[in-house]
Order: sequence, then structure tokens, then C-alpha cells
Amino acid sequence: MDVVLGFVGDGFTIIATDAGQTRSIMRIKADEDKIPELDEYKIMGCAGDAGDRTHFAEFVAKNLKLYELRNDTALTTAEAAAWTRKALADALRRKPWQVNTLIGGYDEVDGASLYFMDYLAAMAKVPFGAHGYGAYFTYGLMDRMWRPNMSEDEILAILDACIAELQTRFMVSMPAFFVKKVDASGVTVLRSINSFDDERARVGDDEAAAASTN
Amino acid sequence: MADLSFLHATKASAALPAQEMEEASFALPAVADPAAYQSQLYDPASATPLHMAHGTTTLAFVFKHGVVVAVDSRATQGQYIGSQTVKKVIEINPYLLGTMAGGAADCMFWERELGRQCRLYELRNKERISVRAASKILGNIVYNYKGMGLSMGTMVTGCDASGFSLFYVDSDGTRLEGQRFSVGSGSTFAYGVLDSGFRWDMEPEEAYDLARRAIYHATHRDAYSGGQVNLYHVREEGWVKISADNVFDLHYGYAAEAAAEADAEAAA
Amino acid sequence: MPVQAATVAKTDEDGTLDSSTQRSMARRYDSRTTIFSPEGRLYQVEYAMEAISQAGACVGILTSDGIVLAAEKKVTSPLLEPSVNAEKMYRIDAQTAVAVAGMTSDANILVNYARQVGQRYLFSYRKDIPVEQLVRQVCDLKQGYTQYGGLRPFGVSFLYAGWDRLHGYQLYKSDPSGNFGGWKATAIGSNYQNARSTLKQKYEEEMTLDDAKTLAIRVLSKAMDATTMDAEKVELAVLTRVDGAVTLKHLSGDDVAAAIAAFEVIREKEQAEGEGSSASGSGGNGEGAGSGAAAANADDPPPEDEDYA
Repeated sequence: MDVVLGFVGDGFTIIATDAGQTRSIMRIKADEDKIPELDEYKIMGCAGDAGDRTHFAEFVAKNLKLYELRNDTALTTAEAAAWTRKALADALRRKPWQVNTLIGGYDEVDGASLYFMDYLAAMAKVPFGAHGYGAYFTYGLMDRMWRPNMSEDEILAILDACIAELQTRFMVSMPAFFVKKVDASGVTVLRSINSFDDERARVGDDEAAAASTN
Repeated sequence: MADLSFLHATKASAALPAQEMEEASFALPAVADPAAYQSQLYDPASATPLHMAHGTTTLAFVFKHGVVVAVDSRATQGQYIGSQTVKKVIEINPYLLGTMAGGAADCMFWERELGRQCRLYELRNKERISVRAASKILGNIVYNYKGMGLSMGTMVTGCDASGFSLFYVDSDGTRLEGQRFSVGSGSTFAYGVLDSGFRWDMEPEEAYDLARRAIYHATHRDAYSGGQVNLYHVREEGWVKISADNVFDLHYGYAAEAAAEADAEAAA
Repeated sequence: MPVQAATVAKTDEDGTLDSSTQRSMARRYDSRTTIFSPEGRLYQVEYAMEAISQAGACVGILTSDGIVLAAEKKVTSPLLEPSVNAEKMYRIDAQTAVAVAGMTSDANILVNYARQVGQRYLFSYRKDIPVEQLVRQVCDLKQGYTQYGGLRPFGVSFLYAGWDRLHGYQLYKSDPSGNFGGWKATAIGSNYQNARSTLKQKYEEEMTLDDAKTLAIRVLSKAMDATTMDAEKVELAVLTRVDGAVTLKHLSGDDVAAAIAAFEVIREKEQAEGEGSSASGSGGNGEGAGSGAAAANADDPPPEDEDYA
């Protein structure tokens, strides 16, 4: 039931995921970050089996780092996405990772870019994308609203429209989202939640209230 | 080079001295033909394949004064209550606790293995392992066995240099850091009490009462949970066991309290 | 005696070992590639390098507009069918080509391996492999044969010419030990010492591709020890990037002849100038270059030092 959304704007890529972690019929966590940072200029929005999700993201991130250490240069988003796709494809008939991903990144060769990849290792470079049930509710809106070279505010307006639609029509409740942006200056967390900080702030725990500055 | 020996932890178990194995024994279910009964229960094709202690309620939460862990003590085998006195909190070391839901043997075995590795970490690095790292070891172990039949839903909690922390680890390979979790068939009932009663700045006594009541209410509604409520408090100086209360005693105690309150209201 | 032997012997100058002792030592320790001699040498590796120094010379020159590769074709018999117009240069992938000195059969194995490395990278990353990574992987294979049991090293040195997004035009040299390095201009094969000292003297950073072609012919003519150059004995190729595609252009016989002719004109002019000035001449002719190299050797470490870096 995870929702992942991604958009390319003018010199940046934004990825958003819902903050819930469900098991069976229950939400066991409400502040889960499902957009791991693969390296300084790459983020990966993930949906799917929770164990595979974290394992796959760590596997990719560690391999990108290994490439960087061996070759003294980081892969571009296109190269990293191609490598990730092959890793997923190679594992598909052995020990598959059940994860759908959106890989966003920024590099000097291609600028900002976004790659859509499903758990069967089909990949496409896209201007915007979504996975899972969330895609059914949001692709229409994205097709309607997305234009090339949009500003951050314009992209966030599409995102908010998508979130509003999900909260209106989707059976599963999604009160909060993580949103991350990657551009020439690296990764920025635009929205996040932390239930620790929220709890502490609610009761006015001083030291914690200072820490909760999302 | 990183120590990856935990990937082969099963080999260590195979090396158990035969004598120890011979001395270990299990109590048998009190039925006419225990072997047939067991094999029927263990058959994965049966409608209710056996998972020891599958019916369970466990919970843990982090609050201002540390972490409170509370569990029930019932072990079921299908419809059959195997035990009312199971220790579902596993004392990994003086600073780390693990909880047990799902397969009792899986949880017990792997959390003991976790304890062994945490001790080795301590000896090698001359400092205690973080809760984050300890839970990651367990998470990595079970991820490697993913899809091979392990059944575990555990919480690993404790205190380290970064403070108190709580991790949920299950046999799907899921590992989540969180503020409060409840695991097991009774968890939905426990969550109701826990979520509504939780405040960050509770005093320890309030927290104990909340945790105890949450487990009690779960045992009341969940047929697979029961026995007694074992309650632990993780503090900076390590964990302490707070109490072990039979749920029947709790039931009548809470009933008496409610009656007394009703009387007081009527009088007022 | 291998070249490295001379270098190492120099460091042992307190000299308990005369050359005959060394030779008998060599026989004791050179039967296995994986065993060091007491002086810390791997004889089989040195012999492989020696074998290469008998092979046809190859020259590589890097300019800002591209890379010139030139090679000496040793014509063995007029009865032999000319196989292809390029027998010492191989395209590895879209961005890289190599020139080979040494055993052709060994080179075929390594070229095939290098092509696989290139395609494997392309399969993984959907981009051509950066030149240095390709060189490094081939050299890792070469190194393996200096260490692992009972096999002989590849008797091949390569000049790799390539272009990539990270570092533009690049020229690398590798030898049987698995060592490699990046160069502005270098040579392998017969007479490589003379060739390198000529390059050292005549190479200029701002060279055009035509300058580099002329220099390559000059170096080859010295290496081949021939008074007149025969276009049939020379392979000349230029690696450039045109409209985003890296191309390796093999020059036709006529174009090679033209390059040789251009060099002849310059040489004649230099010789005329050399006769005009005093006999101490600054290295226009063969002897001048030789003495220039000797002078350089006295000041600097020997040019092949990087082989045992």
C-alpha cells in the first residue's frame, strides 16, 4: 500500500513517499522514511516489502560508494540507475527483492533526472512517476498538471494535489509524507515527521522541543 | 575485515556437545497420542500450522524515563495452551532486552545468538554495542533466512551512549526504529489502551500501570494471550524487572478498583 | 641482459654479485614466475619484457586534438598474405583502441579480454567504460600471471589510446608485470629507450595532430634503424572525437607515405642546419639524440623506472 511519487522540475528532482509502515491490517509505524539517500546526489523512493526495501537500498548505496572509492568518481544518475536495474534483474530468478523504486538524482552530465523501476527490473527515464495503488489515483493529476521546467513551488503544488486526492479517495489513510529534493547542491529534506519529537514537543519537553525542527 | 561469522551461526549450533542435547527434553501435550497430535499441528498444510507462542501480546515504548517492556506469558499450540509461564522477555545482557512473538524457539535461539555476538563485540571493541547495531545484527540474521520458515516478531530495546532506543525486528527482515510498538495476536487490543494512554512525560509508575493494563486488556480479549504480565523497565544503568502479575489477579484487582470508584461516585 | 637487470645491479653497487653469479642465480630462480630471486627480482617477468623489446616498435603521442598511434610492421616474407591493413592496432570499445608490442597470440587473448571488460561495463552501466578502468582491469589480469602458480606472464605491452568524459584524451602504457601509467608520449617495443628519449626531447604540449604524426614517424625511423622509411612497414592511426563519437582512423598507404615525406623534408632541413652550426649540435641527428639521452640519464632516474615503481 506504499505510495511513491516523483517529479522532475527545473534543475531538481523531488520524490515523496507516505510515512506509514504497515503490517497486515495495522500501521506499525507512522514516521518511516522510505526515501533513502544513496549518495550525495541520489535519492531512491521505495515501495514494497519492508525487509527487502531497506536491504536493497543499503545494497545499492554501499555499491555506489564502493565504485566511488575504487574509481575516484561517482556514477551519474543514469549509470547508477542502470547498475541498480541490472542488480535487480540478476536477482529476479534467484532471490528477488520485492521493491518498486523511483531513483532521482542530479549530475553534471544530465542535470536532474528521474528513473522509474518496478520489482521486475523494468526501467524507464520519466519526467514524473508513481508506484502502487497510489499511481491509480495520481497519474491523471500528474498528466494534467506537469509541465517541463517547473519551479519548486509549482512541483510541490502538484504533489499537494496528489496527496489531497489520496487522502480523499484512497481507502488507506495517509496522514503524513516524507518529501526530498535533489539538485546541484545535494539532497534537501523538504518534509519529514518524527513521532519522538512530536510527543516531546506536545508535552513541552525542553531539550526535545529544540531538536524537533523539521 | 568485518566479522561476518553471524551469517553461519547455524553451524555453531550444530557443534553443541551431544551430551547437552541428550539432557534437553520437552514436556509432551496431555493427549492420547502426542506424536500424532504434534505432527498434525506441525503440518504446514493444516488449517492452523503450529507456531509456538504465535498467540501473544508484547509491547514496549520509549518515554521520558526510559523504556517500558511488558508481555504476557501464554504459549499456545493451535487451540491448546502449552504453557502459562513462558518468559517472553529475553534478557540479552544487562542493558539489552528482546521480546518474543511468533516461534518461541526461533526467538529464543536467535536472541541468545544475538547475546553471544553482543558479548563478543564488547570483548573485541572494549565498549558496549549500541541498540541500533545489536538490532541490525538480528535483522541481518533473519533477513538471510527470509522465506525459509523463521517466524519471529521481536522488539530489541535498551540503553546505550545515544540514550534509549527501541527497534522492531521481524522474520520478514523488517527492522524499524520506533517510539512504541506492540507485537502479537493481541497487539491490536493493546495498542488501543497504549495509544490513548501514552504521554511522553509519564512518571515511571504511570508508565508501568499503562503497560500492565494494555497487556491485561489484550489477554482479556485475545484467547491466545494470557498467564501473567511480566514488566520490565530499561533505565540508564540497565534494565530491572518491575513485576509479574497473574492476569486473573489483575482482572479482579481492576474490577475492585472500578467498583470502588463507582461507589465513590455514587456517594458523591 | 634485461634492462631492469642493469637498473637493479646499479642499486647493488657494493656488488658482491658479478654477472656470472647473477646468471647462475637466474637459472635457479627463473623456472617459476611466482618466486622472487634473492635480489628481489622476478626473472620471468623481466624476460617477458625483454621479449617485447625485440618486437616491432609502437609509439603513442597525445595532443589536445587527439592521439597518434604508430607502429612498425615487421615484414617477414613477401609470400605472406597481408592480413589486414591494421595488424598491430585493435579497437577495444567505442572509446578506446590499443597498439600492441609483443607476442601476437598473447595479445589476441588480452584484446579479447579487454573487449569483454568493455562490453561488460556497458551492460552494467549503459555507458562506455572510462579508459583508466579498462586499463586497470586488463593490468589486473596481467598481474595475476606474475603471482599465481606455474603460468607464464603475457609477453605483451600495450599502448592504450582513448577518450572519456572524465579525463578527455588519454594515453596509457602497460607491461607484462601489470604496471601501467598515463603518458603524454611514450613508446614500446624494439629500441624503445631511444624512442622515449627522442619523444622526451621533441614532444611539445601544443603539438597539432600533424606535428604528432611527424614526430611519430621520426621516432619510428630511429627505432627501425632504417635510413629510408617504407610506408608498407608503418602503421599510423589517429584517434579523435568527431561529433561525440570516438573514431580511430587508420591512415592509408598514401597518407603514411605523405607523413614520411613530410618528416624527410624536416630532417633534411635539420641536417642542413646541423652541418651549418658547430659539431656540438643540439640533437638533430641520431648521435645527437643518443648523447642527449645519456645526458638526461645522468641527471634523472632511468626512463623505465616506472616499471618497478
